[in-house]
Amino acid sequence: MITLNPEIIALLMLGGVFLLVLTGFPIAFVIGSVSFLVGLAVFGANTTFHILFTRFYDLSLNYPYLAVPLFTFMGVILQQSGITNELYENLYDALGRLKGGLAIVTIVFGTILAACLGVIAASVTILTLMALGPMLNRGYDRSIASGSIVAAGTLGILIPPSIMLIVYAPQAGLSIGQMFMGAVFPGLLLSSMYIMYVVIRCLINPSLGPAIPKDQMTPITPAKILKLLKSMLPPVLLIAAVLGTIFSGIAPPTEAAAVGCTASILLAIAYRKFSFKMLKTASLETMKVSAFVVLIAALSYAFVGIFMNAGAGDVVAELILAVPGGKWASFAVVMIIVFALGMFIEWIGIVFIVVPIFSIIFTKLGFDPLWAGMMVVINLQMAFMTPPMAMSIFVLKGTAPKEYNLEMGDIIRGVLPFVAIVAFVLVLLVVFPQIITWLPEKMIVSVR
Amino acid sequence: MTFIRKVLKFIDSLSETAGSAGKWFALILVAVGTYETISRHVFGAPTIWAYDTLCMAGGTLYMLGASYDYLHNAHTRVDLIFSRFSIRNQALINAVASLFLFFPLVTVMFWYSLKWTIKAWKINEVMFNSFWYPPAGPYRTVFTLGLFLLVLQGLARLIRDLYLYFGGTPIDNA
Repeated sequence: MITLNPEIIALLMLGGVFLLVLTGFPIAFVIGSVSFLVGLAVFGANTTFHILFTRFYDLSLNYPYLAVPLFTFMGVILQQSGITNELYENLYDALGRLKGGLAIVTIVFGTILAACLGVIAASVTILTLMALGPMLNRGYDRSIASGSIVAAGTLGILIPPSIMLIVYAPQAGLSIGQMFMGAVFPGLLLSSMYIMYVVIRCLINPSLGPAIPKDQMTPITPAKILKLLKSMLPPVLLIAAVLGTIFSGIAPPTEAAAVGCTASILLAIAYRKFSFKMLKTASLETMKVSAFVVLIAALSYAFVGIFMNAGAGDVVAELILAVPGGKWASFAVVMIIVFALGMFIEWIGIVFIVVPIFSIIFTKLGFDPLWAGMMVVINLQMAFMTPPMAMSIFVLKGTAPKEYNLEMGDIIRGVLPFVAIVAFVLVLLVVFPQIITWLPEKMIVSVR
Repeated sequence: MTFIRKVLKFIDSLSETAGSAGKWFALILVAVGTYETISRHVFGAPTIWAYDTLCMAGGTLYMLGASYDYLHNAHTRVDLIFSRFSIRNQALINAVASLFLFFPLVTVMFWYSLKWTIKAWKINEVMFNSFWYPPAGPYRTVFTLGLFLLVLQGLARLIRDLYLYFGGTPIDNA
């Protein structure tokens, strides 16, 4: 055992993870091994093995995190049941006649998709496959098209039920339900500002998003509106029921998610899309996603055990609290750190490593933990859209069919205005914190 | 070489089997979760076993999925720099990194888990998360098995990486 002062330990552990993830080795093991090696040096073998193993084992049996596999399962079933395809087609038909209409369709569809799925990679992939072709074939500007896909797809991590909120809440001592409710209005605000931006751009310059030519337009009939509503209703109603159950305190998120899964299976049966193969695919996908999410979570939880026990958390907290300029300066530093980390490291690691440290800071400075947490989450979703390292952009680039020749430059040009919108919304939320806190405060006290 | 190839295929098939068995625990989560919610909120009759069953089903799903994900390269990586190297150099980086960042950690976790599992069976240890007090042995066994398969899959990957780096072609091609 060697005695290292906490400053050095903080530097070794955070710097170690930061550098070693660049080897491209799976993040879960990098985070686990850094804590393993530093722990060996600081606490010796027995204590380190014990901390790491018990934390890993405990997290594997964590009840709230069961919402991760369950909401993943629900999303896959909803997507496989063809409900989403029908919804997209009807939206296309109804809104395609407007200038920039298909970009609006993409954002509205992405918002609903975000509520069905909890993982951004999934939302962006589906949006790229379904919405990119129609937009480019209609002569939409490549930047507007890819910008709206990336922005709308990234909403997936914010709009509940989102896996990031499930992972975040327990780490900050908040309830998952409270976090879900806090994300509702910021999510809708972002989505409506995205739509406003697209509409304004296309009104000024219609060639960016030409409407369907007059002769190809079919008249809007009541039957058509009914069809649109009918296709929108099942997924929206399902999600509303799941969130309503959590909001009213009838059931915690894990149980609401399980019932949501059963309901989505019933929906698939109603749509005559249900098959045994679908259950198999959904189960396999669920295992694949939740195994890697929870493995990173468990090993990051182990990391924090070593980090905090070595006193490194206090060092970082003190450092940030010592920033001149008062509490808002410290808050700004936290936000900048989160943003910078978000461009490099998988979010699960960030949430686990950073939240326990930053929670100390938020409490000391007197920030509402729910509000501060939501700011961190929105900030992270901005980080996923910001070059040079933007997960959402990579997914779009990776999924886009080759024949469209989508260039990185087109995508980045299209995404940057949306990044500016998120930054603007963050400022709005500082000025009007009620946008976040109003709905959670209306929840029944006992479930908060 | 044929022997090694056979061993590699065997390890792969173990992870595949773990994955195809493990995935059904997702359905167990859905079924038990729904059953518990309805029986508690509709019939006012919560079960004593659902909480632990759900937690263990979840844990089984993750642990059996761990080696499956390793086999299918589904654990997230930051591959910005990594992906710019040639396939051969990627294999070298991955092999070296696994010696420091994978094997020490995962082997120790496996060994520790094995110790805990044997203890759990010996003294009939129970879980204290609810009033159901289920035995801890079965879940610990699955947990240990998951880690064991992960170590094996890590070895298989290491052999493949080394063969690819030194031989220039993937071992599975020949």
